[in-house]
Parts: sequence; structure tokens; C-alpha cells
Amino acid sequence: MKLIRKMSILVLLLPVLVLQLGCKKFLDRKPLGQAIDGDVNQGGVESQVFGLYASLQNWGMTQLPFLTMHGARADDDVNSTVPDGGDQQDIVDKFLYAKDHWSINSLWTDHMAFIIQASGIIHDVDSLFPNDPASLVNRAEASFLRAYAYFDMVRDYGEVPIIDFKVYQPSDANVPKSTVDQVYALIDSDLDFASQNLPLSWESKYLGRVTKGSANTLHAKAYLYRQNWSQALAKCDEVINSHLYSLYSNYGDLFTENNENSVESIFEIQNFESANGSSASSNYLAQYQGIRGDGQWDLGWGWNLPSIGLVDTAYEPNDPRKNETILYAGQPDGRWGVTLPPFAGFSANTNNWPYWNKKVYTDPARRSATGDRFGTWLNTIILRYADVLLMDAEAANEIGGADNIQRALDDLELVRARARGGDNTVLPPVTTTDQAELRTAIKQERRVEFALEFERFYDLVRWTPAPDNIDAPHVLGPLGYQARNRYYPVPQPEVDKSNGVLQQNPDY
Amino acid sequence: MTIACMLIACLHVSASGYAQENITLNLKSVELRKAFIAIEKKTDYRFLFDENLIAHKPKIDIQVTERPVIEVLDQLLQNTGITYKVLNNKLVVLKEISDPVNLEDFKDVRVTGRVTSAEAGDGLAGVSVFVKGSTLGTTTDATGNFAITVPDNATLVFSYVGYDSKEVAVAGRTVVNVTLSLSTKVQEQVVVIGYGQANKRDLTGSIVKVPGKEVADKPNTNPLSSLQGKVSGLSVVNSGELGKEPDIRIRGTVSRTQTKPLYIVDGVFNDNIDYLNPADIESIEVLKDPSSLAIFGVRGANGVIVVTSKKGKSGMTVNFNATIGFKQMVDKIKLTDATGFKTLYLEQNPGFDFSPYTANTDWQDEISQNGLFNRDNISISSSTEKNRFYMGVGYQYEEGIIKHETLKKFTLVLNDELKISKALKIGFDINAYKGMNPQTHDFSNAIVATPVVEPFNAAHGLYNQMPIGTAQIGNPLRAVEETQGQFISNTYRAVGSVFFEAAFLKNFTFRTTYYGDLGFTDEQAYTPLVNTFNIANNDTSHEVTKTDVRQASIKNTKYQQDYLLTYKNKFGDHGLTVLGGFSTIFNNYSEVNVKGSQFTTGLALPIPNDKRFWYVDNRVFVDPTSIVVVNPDKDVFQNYLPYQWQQTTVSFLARVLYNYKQKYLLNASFRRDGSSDISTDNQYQNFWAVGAAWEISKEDFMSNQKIFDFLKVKASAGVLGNQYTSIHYPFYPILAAPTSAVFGPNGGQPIPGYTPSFIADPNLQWESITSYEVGVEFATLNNRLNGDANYYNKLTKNLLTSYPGVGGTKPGITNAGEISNTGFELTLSWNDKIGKDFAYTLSGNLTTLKNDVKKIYLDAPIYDGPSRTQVGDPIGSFYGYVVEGVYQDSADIANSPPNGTPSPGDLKYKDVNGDKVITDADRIVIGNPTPKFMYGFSIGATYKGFDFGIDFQGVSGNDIFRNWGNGAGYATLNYREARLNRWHGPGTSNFEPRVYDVSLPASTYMIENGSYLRIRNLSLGYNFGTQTISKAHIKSLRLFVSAQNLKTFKHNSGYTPDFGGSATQFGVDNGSYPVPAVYSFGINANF
Repeated sequence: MKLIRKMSILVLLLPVLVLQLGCKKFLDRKPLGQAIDGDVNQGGVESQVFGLYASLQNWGMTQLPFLTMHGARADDDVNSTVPDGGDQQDIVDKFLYAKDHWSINSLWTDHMAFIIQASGIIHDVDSLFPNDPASLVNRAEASFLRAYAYFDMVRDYGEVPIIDFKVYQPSDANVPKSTVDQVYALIDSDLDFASQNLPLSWESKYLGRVTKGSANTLHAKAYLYRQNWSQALAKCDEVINSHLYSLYSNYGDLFTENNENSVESIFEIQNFESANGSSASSNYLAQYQGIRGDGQWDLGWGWNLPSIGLVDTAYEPNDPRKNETILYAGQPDGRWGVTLPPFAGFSANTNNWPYWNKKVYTDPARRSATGDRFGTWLNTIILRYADVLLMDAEAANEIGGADNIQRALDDLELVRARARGGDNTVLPPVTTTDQAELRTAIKQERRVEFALEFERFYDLVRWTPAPDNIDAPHVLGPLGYQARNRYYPVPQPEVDKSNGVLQQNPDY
Repeated sequence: MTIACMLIACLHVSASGYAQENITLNLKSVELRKAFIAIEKKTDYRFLFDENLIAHKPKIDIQVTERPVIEVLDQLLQNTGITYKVLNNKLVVLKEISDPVNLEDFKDVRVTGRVTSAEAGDGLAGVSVFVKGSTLGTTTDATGNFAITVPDNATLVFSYVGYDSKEVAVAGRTVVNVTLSLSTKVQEQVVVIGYGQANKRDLTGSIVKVPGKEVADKPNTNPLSSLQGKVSGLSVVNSGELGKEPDIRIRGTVSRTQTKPLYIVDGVFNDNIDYLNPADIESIEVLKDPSSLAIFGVRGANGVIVVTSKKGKSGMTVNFNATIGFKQMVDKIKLTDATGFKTLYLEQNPGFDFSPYTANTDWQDEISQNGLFNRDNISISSSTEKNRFYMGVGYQYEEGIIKHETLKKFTLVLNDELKISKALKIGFDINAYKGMNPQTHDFSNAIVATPVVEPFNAAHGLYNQMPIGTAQIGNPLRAVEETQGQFISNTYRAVGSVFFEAAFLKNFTFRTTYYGDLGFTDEQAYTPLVNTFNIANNDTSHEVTKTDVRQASIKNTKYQQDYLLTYKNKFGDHGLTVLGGFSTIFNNYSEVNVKGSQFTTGLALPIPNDKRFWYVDNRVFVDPTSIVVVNPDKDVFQNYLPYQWQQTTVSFLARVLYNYKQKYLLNASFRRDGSSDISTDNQYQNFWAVGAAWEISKEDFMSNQKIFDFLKVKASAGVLGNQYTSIHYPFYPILAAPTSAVFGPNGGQPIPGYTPSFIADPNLQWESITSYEVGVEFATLNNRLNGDANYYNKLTKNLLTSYPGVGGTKPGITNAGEISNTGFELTLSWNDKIGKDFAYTLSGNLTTLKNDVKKIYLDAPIYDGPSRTQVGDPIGSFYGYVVEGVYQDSADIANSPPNGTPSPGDLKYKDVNGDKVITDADRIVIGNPTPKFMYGFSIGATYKGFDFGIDFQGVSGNDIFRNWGNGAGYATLNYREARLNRWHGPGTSNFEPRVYDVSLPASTYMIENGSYLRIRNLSLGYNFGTQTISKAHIKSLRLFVSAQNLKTFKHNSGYTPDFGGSATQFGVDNGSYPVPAVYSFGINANF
């Protein structure tokens, strides 16, 4: 009994002890197994930059919204013929833009998030390590990537808010839109900085990081979109004269997993899936565009399809690029030695289109090894040397003069020669020295060279400086395109959340 | 003695002999009563008198110094017409001189005796024994014995919480033994409240007690399922899915994150009670109002359900009960058969070649079965003066209504309470359980698979592929048959506690309890190779080409300690119970979940379909380099939910229960909670409630009325908390690498880039619910009709809101938004007997619910599937277009506001905003998932040995969103039978649109009426008479048959009208699982 009395006294005292030991410590809990700020020595800004590269794979950056919003608006791309294309289909194939649609919305928010992330890094370098050479390279990478995101924004939405400062809380980011010129000015300064500070190339383990060539190529394109031909030409020159890039010998193989980061690659989104499929860091563009079939032919959703127009009328006779761009239902694939399932007619739900995008068609051996049919390992090429050559040709032709015309013809011929694949009976060299004819030839070349690579819509629009010009209204008009459709509406939820700071685009 | 006496005395009466005492008094113009009180205070003398005797006597003056009491009494009573006699325990009995009863007849007598319980026969400790009309008295000791000295003709009143009081005339006896019976009156119930128990009569709040027998013999493995329709204010939505927890809400949906209440099982705080065996439950209390809930602080807002397990009862009883029965699918969904399907499909896709597909398969029939269930329980209960022991062992076996679904549970309850001395008690409590969790499937594929395919292709020994929607819909029967036994999951749980209780200084009790809750789950899962047959291509095809195995081990442990100090005393007319306490909870979760796949090179053998090999360290079949941690689900910020977390709380609590004359009641409670989930800067938050009640029926002016036997009005108000966030560490944004940078040749290597995943709000605090209730309880018509009616009003403020980033900024969690829940509750019950053998009970309850979202972060609606939570509408409202009809022809289209490029046969939406065009702006709230009211009613009757019961339950005024059968959007699937009435030419239908191939936006087309009435339980039992069975040494024996969910009168087309869900999405019919009818037969015997 005595023992029990003593015990009960102890029990009485326990709470006092517990209180003494401190509730504060007892209540202090931090995440287990997960790192928080301060846990990871991120080695300065470099790992923040890696985070920025990682964010390239965010949903609105390079995933489904990117595919549908960038790809299928063109005449050569069909979003999807099955109903799961849903309202996307109307939006991108028929230009029935919605003000509040998840796809347009996340395209905006993920790009803005990416820009905010990049601006944070740039701010950190400027305030902490303004003279550290390695950090300046990282700043240059962030500058390039910010310019890349703004370039997407300015061509998709026109006027957008500029956030070139570090954002600490949501209200910081609530700023009004800047003009298109102001956005381009930021792109120019970012790309100038990037060009000056980025290396020409990286050691092998960093293959895929952006380079001086990436910056100059993107800058050339940004000038081209403003019809600033001389600057575009100068930037292309820089890339060409670096002699770091050339056209990959085989047009078709360029797009396979076996030839990633080829000599032609200038900026390529790097995707990864381990050889046995156990881990991945990737986007799903190949899956969204994969053949929509059954069983082993269930390679994806079958979105962003070659249009009938692309298949029937775009290519010159026997252009080998056609068969490297398009897969035909029921026919041999012409690459891995297998035959595609037949086209079941337009009415059925699967195999409902006779053509598929071959540029995302993966190696069956890789599919088998990973147990993954959806090609998530496949890199996405954003900028490649053929683009540099054709931009160079376009800019030279627009400036004109015999030398420049010749230069344009030479560039064009390089691209066509590679496309011939050694068969000199096809794709005869373009010889016209008439500026207008050459312009048409260059436009034609861009259309087929970059078919299904997200260039077509923007090309058509930028070739249309005035509403009366022919390209976009002529080509896209029958599909429902109007002048206002060159830009998307600003997502209504963002307009609403801004409390009047963010203004809707005109005509919406 | 027949006169009513009023005695002012303390509880302890001295029995010592005469001793002359002197007193000094100085009183001016006081009532006699005051003088008596003064004498009692200063001396051992006590007075016994009739209240009326002194009521109208003139005021007196007295001034004496050190005079004998007797002398003072003489002086006081001079000329008052009152005489007295002093009994030998210094009791002064007063009487009118003119009263003919001779004072000399008064004697005092020492009475001893024992009070026992009529039900269990054991001595009742703490029974109050007092002279009628007074509080003079004593209480029984631990064994039920008492001793008291009273006038020999006094009437003793024995009262004990939860028991009917008894009056016994002493009539000169010296031994009075009494048995008390458990009260059947609602207001006399003892209810378990937070950190203790109390007489319902002394409380100001609304607590509903459900006796254990209500859940014990119901065919539900989760005891909460049996509460459906039983308690006002409590919504229980059951799922037919095997082992699935019901959706429980008390008085509406108050939070954005957590809807279910807190469960407290024998003191331990819990979020689920899957581990309990219904047969071992003594009672379930549902706590609903602020007065009852504030003591639970930050966990009180959703209401609390308190479960008490059975404890040992006096004597020794062995109970055996067994139930066996089966479950049957009811209300099958009506779908098109092969003929109907072909008709519709060909309208949509003319020319489709159906020639290889000649079957007419009913996939629902193919995969379903009548599920068996069986429960066996045995318990031993034993109690002596010193020790109370209870042990229960149970086994439950249950099958689902889809083939091969089985669930097994083994449960053990063990508790013991030992009285070491009068002052010291210790005890322990163990609830242990092993659950063999089911591998569940659902009907979602069976209701969309096309009927034209034979399930199995006997010629090829393979299941057939679907010709339509192949990529989306596997063969439903294959999924059930070929994955059989490929998911093995066992849960083990032991919840236990040890307590020490010490009584000291007469009025104090100190109790310490330590709780442990140890939960473990082991899982193994296997993905087989899947081959199916494609009829069109005459081809076997791999749906899955790689085998893998997954192993998971989950550990959830919780430790709780409570230190409670109770002070209980009575001062004259004032009753007071004060509780102070300190409590901590430590909750720890960790999980390992890994997956390994077969080799892809070299050996490259598939992992066999044999559970011997379902281990990731199997190096013959599993490629060691393929072993990865399985990605968990993602949280609101798209981060993977952690596989481990810890959470702690520290709480200080206090409560005062006060009453004056048991007529005016005041309850107040307070809790201060500190939580590890809140920033260290404002870690503690306070919650409180105050309640008051008035038992009007105790007032004098009510003594002459015959209408109310009991009448009490009550009101309470307080602030409660809700601590559920959608993530575990809201103050520590984890560094997330949702994707990785990838660099390098040959496919590259990923390099994760870490960024904080959200913005932490330093000022975050818990949701607080300001709540009040007013109500009335009554008993009338000779206690046959009992009622309880309440109005409740709850306003949740500072809703914990996870918000998306603005303009591309990071998301975060903040406090924003308000939700209001109001309603009215009514419970009525009628008990009566007709003749000697027939007794019956009618009872019913009704609750109205009104939910209104007052504010939301940035006024931005919360989208959750088809549900939308927005300001001004009920939470989780359905949102969409209003269907006006179907476009009959192109003229109809031309005459209607433009809406894209519709075809005749498409749904015609209403131009709600009148802008002459159909746009997103024409969408409005088209349905409310919260019922306007819910109700339940029961009829029970006993006649001789027979007992009969029937329970009804229903809801009214809610809507269901039909999220199936609307055309899947991505593929054409089987059709609802109603689609046969589709539009297929002008005038054919103005509601069902043409067969289509697109996903329709949400509209009233998908809204169905959610009201229903269900025959929830029907039971018939027979109790054998004791004579019949006593020869077999059986104390009691009952046989019964019952039917659950016998019939549901509903309006919707789905399997069932009940659909639970989250806070912001519920009432959505995804067509997944029916709620079956259950028929059972059982036996219950006591030895």
C-alpha cells in the first residue's frame, strides 16, 4: 500500500515534471524525411537554376497546355478527333477561345510562376554575388530562361505584366500589363546578358544546359518576330560562325531517342526515364501525341495530329521528310519494322485518324525495357540549327540585295540537301532570286521542316503584320481565325483576382 | 412521520450524547429561520421542522451571551405557538403546540443497510441517502452500505445518478435494504461527457446517448453505420463498399478540410473506430452543442462521438452471440441491353460492324454475388467489491457483393478495474484488433462496359477485350477474377490505457490516464501480366507487359496522457463540480512503401502469381535496380504527401458544473490548446463555452400542473476549434522538386532543383466556430412522451484555406472565409404499455440543415469536380447550365439564343442572364447536396417473449449529381436505359438529348432528386422464458431475425441515394457501389 501511495504521489508529480521539461520542445515539430529551407546546402544559386530547368517541365510550360495551345492552332495540326479533346478542340482548332479555361489559364500561371522563379534567382545573384563568375553564368541561364518564358507570353498574350523583381508575397506580383515593346525590351536585355555570359558549350555531364548559342538563336527569333531583319541576321550569324552546330545527317533519326542532343540541337528540353522505367523526370508530350490504339498500340492519346492538309498538300513530291513526320495507319512504320494497326474509319473511338505524329514515335525496344509505352523519356527539341539557317535565310531575303539573296539560297539549300537524304531526284534546289518567290519558298520550307513542331501558327501570325496580309487570315481564316485570335484572352480568374490591376486583352 | 420536514443540516450528523452547550447570539428583527441557522453554525444542534410552521411567524430579536442552547430556544419560541423536543443526537424537532401528535413519541433511530442495483445485484457506491424533503443524509460506501441516525418515522430517499429514486419509510426499522433500478427516463440518464460523466439533468447541452444494444445486433462491422437515422443532428452516409468508413457529419459541414467528428473511445482521441467490435460497446454518446464540446478545444468543432466499451458487471456472466446472414444487391442500375446498346450506338456511329459481337452480357450480374457474413462473440464479465473484469473476443467475417471480396476481423477487449483501498483505484483497458482488409473493386466499369461482348472467350482461354472504349475499360470480370488474392493487407491495432485514481480530502479526485494506440498495417500487392483477347483482330494482346510487386508497412502510433483533478461538493442548495486538467497527445505516422519490377534483361522472367514471391527483395524475379519508393498521393500544393509525420498537442482544460437547487444550472468550460501544427509565435489558442439551463418543472408554481412531468429550457454558446489542415507542417514549406532538371548524354541524369513549395502564413491560426444553441427538453403525459428540441447556429470563421498562387506566385494556406450552419432538431419518443404483456415505443427525430458560405478567400469559388463552393450558396453546390429542353430542329436552334454550333437533338440551355447568348455566365447553382432535413423514426414493441422493431430513415430536399451515364467524353460506353428515350427526330424527346460523343458540361440534366425514405432495420426476436432454459444452465436466450436496408424509396437512377465525400464535394454519384440489403439470423445467450 505504501508503495502504491508513493506511486500515486509520483503520478501526481508527473504533469509538473512534464510542464517543467517544457511544452515548447514537445510542440516543436518539423517535417520528417523532407527538407525545408536551410536543410539543403544548395551550393549557391546553381541549384536554384537547376530548379528552374526542372520547372520547364511544369504543366503549363511544356506539358498538355503547351501542346494544345502552341501546336494545334495551326492549319497543319489537328488537336484531336476524339471527344476527349473536349473544349480544347474548339478552342484551338476552331479558334473559340475561352476566357476561363484550365488550359489557357495554366499556360499563363505556370509561365508567370516560372518568370517569378527566374527573377528571384537574378535578384539573388545581383544582390549577393554580383562579381562571382560562376554565379553570373547562373544568372545568364536564368536570364535566358526568363526570356524564353516571356517570349512565349508575348506571342501568346501580347501585353503581359513584367515581373523582373523578386516576389515575396502574392500582392507583389499584382502589377499591370506592360506593352509588347517593353516586354521585348526585357527579352532583349536578358538575352544580351545571357549571350555575353553563357559558355559556348558545357562539359558532357551538363549536356542540355543552355549556351551562348541558345541565347543567340532565341534572340534571332525574337528579332525575326519584330521584323528586325538585320539584328536577326546578326544573331544568326553569331550562331553559324561559332561552327558548333550543323544539320544532323538524317532528318528522321533526328527525332528519335537515340540521337538526343545531336549536333543540330541548340535548346532541347531534357526528359528522363531510367532504363527499366523505375524512375522518371519527364514530360508527357510523347504520350499526348502517341498513337491512340489498343494493347501494344496504346501509345498515347493521339492529340496534335497531322491534318489532312499537311498530309495531302504541304509537301513537295517525294519529300522524304513527309514519311519521317507522318505515320500512316495500317502501313509499315518505316523505322522499326512494324506495321501500324489499320484505320477503323472516322466513326470509331480508337484508331480514328489515319495519321499520327512520327516525331514522337518511340523505339519499341525502349518501350519494352521500361514497361512504359508512352515515351516519357523522349526529349523535346525547342531550337535547332535548321531553324537558324531558315531564319538566316528569311532575314537575308527580306533585307535583300544579291549577296543576301544568295546567302538565303545557300541556307535554304543546306536544309533541303539534308532533307533529300542523298536522293538527288527529289527536292530540287531553289534557284529563284526573286525576293517574293524566295520568301514563299522559305515559308514553304519552314512549314514542312518544322511540321508539328509548334512553329506554324506563330509563323503564320508573324507573317501577317497587317490584317490584310495573306498568311494567317488566308490560311487560318477558314478554320475560324480572326485578327484577335493572334492572342489569347488573359485568363479571367487572373483578371478577377487582380482587383482591376490586370486588364483583359482587347476584343475579349 | 407524515409531515414534510425541512431540515437544514450538514451531511454528517453527530451521534454523541448530551453535552450542555452555550451560545452567544445577537440578532435583531430576523426570521426564526435565521436564528436556527445561526445556532446550527455555532453548535452541534440541528433543526427538523415543517417549512409552513415557521413561515408566517413574527420576526424576533434576541440578545444572549454564553447561555445554554435550551434556554435560548425557550426564549426564541416564546409566544410563537411552537414547541420542540431535542432528540439524543441533538436533533431539535419543532412542532405546533396545537398539533395533537405527541412530541414525546419522537425517537431517533440508527438505520443501517445496503443499496444494490436491481440489474446487476452489486452494491452501489455513492448513493445519496437522505430524509425526505431534506438534504440530511449520507452516502453509501464502496460496497453500498450506509448508516444514518434519523427520526424513527422518517422517510428515507435513495437516489443515484442514472437510477430511479426510491422512498422507504423507516417505520422503526434499524435495517433498511434497498434495490435501485436503472432509470428509463431520458432526463435521468448518466451520460459520458468529456473527461468524466454526469447526469444529463445537470447539463445544459445536447448529448444523445445510444445504448450499446442498438449497435450490437446490427449487421454492420463499423458501429457508426448503425447510427444512421438514430440521432437528431447526426448525418451518417453509409457506403456499401466493404470495410469503408461511413461519412459522418454532425450538424452540417463546418470546415473545408475535415467533416467527420472526433471519436473518443474510453478516453482516447481518435479519428476512426474501425477497430471496435460493436458487441463490446456499452454506449455511444453524440455530443453536439458548444457547452458539451468546448472541453475538446481545437478538436471540438465537428462534434464528438464518445464510445464506452463494456465493463464488468456484478456476478459472473458469460455471453455468447452469433449472427449469420447474407447481403444482396438491390436497386441494380438500369442499363441498355445488347439490343438497346446497338440501336443507340449505331445512331452515333453508323455502320459499326457488330457481327463478331453477339452476346448480351449483364456485367453487373457477372461480377456480383450474394455476400455472406458471420459474427461470433463471446464475453466474460465479472465483478466483485474490489474488482471489475471484462473480456470480449470477437470474430467477424464479411463478403462484399462483388465476387471475391472478403473482410475478416478479430477483436479483443480486455479491461479491469481494481480498488486497492477506499481512496485508490487502478485499472487498464485494451482494445486489440486484427483486420484482414478486403481487396475491393467497384461497379464503375461494369456500368459502362458494352453488353455485346461475352465476358470470357472459352476457345482461347482468355477474357475478351471491349471492342469499344478498349483503352479506357478493361473487362470488368477479368479485373475481379484475375486479380483475386493479389492484394494482401492486414491491419493490427492495439489501443490501451492504464489509469490511477486517488480520492483525497473528501471532495477531490485525481485521475491520471496513460493511453497508447499502436497501429500497424502490412501490405503486399502484385501486378500480373494481363492477356486479353481481341475479337476484332483475333489477337491476344498484353494489357500489362511487366509484373511488379509492392510492399508497404505502415505504422501509426499515438500516445496520450490525461491528468484530471475533480472537486465535487455541495453547499446547501449549491451543487458544484469543478474539473481541471492537463493533457498531451503525441501522434506519429510512418510508412514504407516500395515497389520492385521484374527484370527486363537477362533472366527477364515474369514474377510468378504466387504470394511466396511477392517480396521486393526477391532477387530471382525482381530486378534490384528497379526497386523504388512508390509515390504517395499529392497534397493541395502538388507535393507528395509525406510518408512520415509527427503531431503533438498540449492542452489545459477546466470545467465548472454548477446548480442551484438543481433548478438553475450553469456549465462553463475552457480549453487552451497548443499544437505543433501552428506557428510557435501563436501556438496556443483558447476555446470556451458557457451554458445555462432552467428546470422549470422544479419550480413551485409548476407543482400543481399536470401537463409536464419534466420541463427544462437550456441555452449555450461558445467558441470551438478545428485543427485539420490539408498539409502536416503548414509552417515549414518543404523544398519540393516536383520535376528535375535533366542533363547529360545517353538519356541524361536527373538533378532535382529544390524550391519551397508554398508560402507559409506566419499568422495562421485554427478555424474557430462560434456556436450557440437554445433548446427545450420535456416529459409529459405521465412521462410517456419525451421530447428534446433545439435550434443550433454555427459560424465557422478563419477557414483554413489553401489558395492558389496569384499571377504565378506560390500557393499558400491562410485563414479566410466563413461558413454558417443553422438548423432545428426535434426528438420525440413515446413509451407505453397496453395490458400486462404488451409494451411499445414510438420514436422519431428530425433535423433541418441550412448551410451558407458567407465568405471565401478573394471571393474565388472553390472548384471540386462538379461541385462549387461560392459565397451565398451552400457548400459544395452543384453548378452548371439550366436545361430548357432539347433542340427539336434547326428552326428551334435558330429561334434560341446562340450557343456554339449545336445540332438538333442537343441540350438547349437557358439564357439565365438574358444577354441573348449562351455563355459560361449562364451557369448558376443547380443543386444542393445538403438535405433540407433528415429524419428517422422507429417503432418497437414487446409482447411476452417477442420483440419487434422497425426503423425508418431518410433525407429530403437535397440533390444528387449523377456523374456517370452522361456520355464519357473520351469514349462511348454503355448507356443508361433512359437513353432509349433519346431525341432521334423532332418531337421524340425534350429531355434526353440525341446520342452524342462529347462530354456534356454540367447542367440540370445530371441533377437528380436526392430525397429518400429507407426501411433501415426490421427485426423480430424471441426471448425464451427463464423456466424453459434454466435447466440448460442458461440465464437468458434470445433468437432474432433481421433485415437491413430492406427497401429504399428513392428518386435517383444510381445504386443508392447516399453519397458521402469531402467537405467541398459530396452527394456526387460516381456509380461505384450499391448499398446492399442484409438479412440475418442471430442468437444471444447468457450463461
